Amino acid sequence: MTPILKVGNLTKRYGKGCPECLERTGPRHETNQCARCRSILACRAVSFELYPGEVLGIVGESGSGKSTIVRMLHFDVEPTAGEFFLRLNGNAAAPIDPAQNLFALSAFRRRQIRNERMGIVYQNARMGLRMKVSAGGNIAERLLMAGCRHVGRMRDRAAELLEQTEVPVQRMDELPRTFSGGMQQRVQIAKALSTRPELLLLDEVTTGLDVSVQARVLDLIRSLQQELGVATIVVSHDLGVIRLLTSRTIVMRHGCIVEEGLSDQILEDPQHPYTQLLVSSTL
Amino acid sequence: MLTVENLEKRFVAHFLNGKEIVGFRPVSFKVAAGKALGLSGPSGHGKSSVLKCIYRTYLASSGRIAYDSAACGPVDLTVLPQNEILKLRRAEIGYVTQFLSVLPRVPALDVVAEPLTATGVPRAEARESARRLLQRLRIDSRLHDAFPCTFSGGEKQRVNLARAVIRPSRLLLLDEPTASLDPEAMQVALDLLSEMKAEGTTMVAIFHDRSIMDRLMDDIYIMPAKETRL
Repeated sequence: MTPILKVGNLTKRYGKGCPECLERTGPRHETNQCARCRSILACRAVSFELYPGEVLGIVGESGSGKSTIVRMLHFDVEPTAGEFFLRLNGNAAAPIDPAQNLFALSAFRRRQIRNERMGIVYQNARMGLRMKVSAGGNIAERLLMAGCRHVGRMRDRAAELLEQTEVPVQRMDELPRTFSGGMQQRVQIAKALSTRPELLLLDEVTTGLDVSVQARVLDLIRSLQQELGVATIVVSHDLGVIRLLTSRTIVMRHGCIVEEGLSDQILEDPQHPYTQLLVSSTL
Repeated sequence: MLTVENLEKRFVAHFLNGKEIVGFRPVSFKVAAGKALGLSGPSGHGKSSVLKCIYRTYLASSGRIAYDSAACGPVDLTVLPQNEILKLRRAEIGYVTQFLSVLPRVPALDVVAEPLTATGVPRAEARESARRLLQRLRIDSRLHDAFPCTFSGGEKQRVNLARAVIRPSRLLLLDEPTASLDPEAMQVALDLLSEMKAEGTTMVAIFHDRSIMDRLMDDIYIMPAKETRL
């Protein structure tokens, strides 16, 4: 099976950087800040692959670079270095060359790929939704960006998505800021799925929600994932989420991948000291 | 079909300052296609760990596990790439544990049907075979739409077993799948397993009950003793 996503050597540095940055940071030094130039290496030389229909988990403590990876893949954050290849077989208007490093593309083209082929759900609904635009409008915005121009059709699709994500359709024209946290999250999921993405990025989707709402959001994601078979990257520091949703998991620490394996192996037979600590810390 | 050679598992416990804990001493055995091998030995000698190594829930410390897969020919399960392992798990290697560990908030019927739907069988059809199987295992039809986490120990175990036998497996790993069943349910469970064996499924199994071992297994492997765990 050929991977649909391939990331190589992905690096993000905040700060000027110096020749010693790489040697002075990482899990061995227990920091991601260079002691000499004070630059922060949020993510250093990360490589991984994602296969069709697969759900990949990224776990790690706060500041380990999990979200940075997802934001770079969504072109929200410009990487310092790295390669990003997508092999999608959909029949979108603008096909992607699988041998083309997407980070090297023009901003216009990257936006186009993001809007047509990817969906993202952020931890904070404020990042994913416009709070002053109605729930339906938020979904329509994405459809509009992907080239849809028919208002009636956009409305129908928005209603269909809201129904699928269990948001009351009659509240379609209300502002997301009048919604509860769980509902906002579900509107975000509806928005992310609106263009039938081939790559879904979930960045701490359930953090900060109360457990019953967490359960509903997770059930929703899982059933949609099974139904649509969309390749997904799940970022979380909750091992329960990882156990529930993913088949493979990457463990990150100080910007590096410290362990990578099948999710049940990571949870039952962790190899790296940090992973052992993480697993044994579960309540 | 399955050849285990000098397979060994040691756990490195970093929280105990890197102390090594022996999972099991080197084991070697062979299972021919369609045959069943029972692992035997006292608790703590690593019987379950062997099965977990074969299923790749545990990473082997040394040794190899040669397996003739239908999809990709002879492979070594200790080093096979992760996505290939996932493919084998979906299509040909089944694993039944003593405990049911499934997703919460999923009705029993869907839990049992899931291995079938994962291979592309339509949901309604998969649910129908799940229903028949659960009925055969004497799970009341009123329970079919309930969540298995509310079930009794024996019921959970039957759901677990049903999940494993709903689709044909080339290799079935059984870790005491009948430990908490009453004699009647046990009989049905053993009948199901014998049927699978008759259909050519290769098995590696752990049963504490010696009479089951004698009835179902073609061969028995005694786990090597280990002096101490640490």
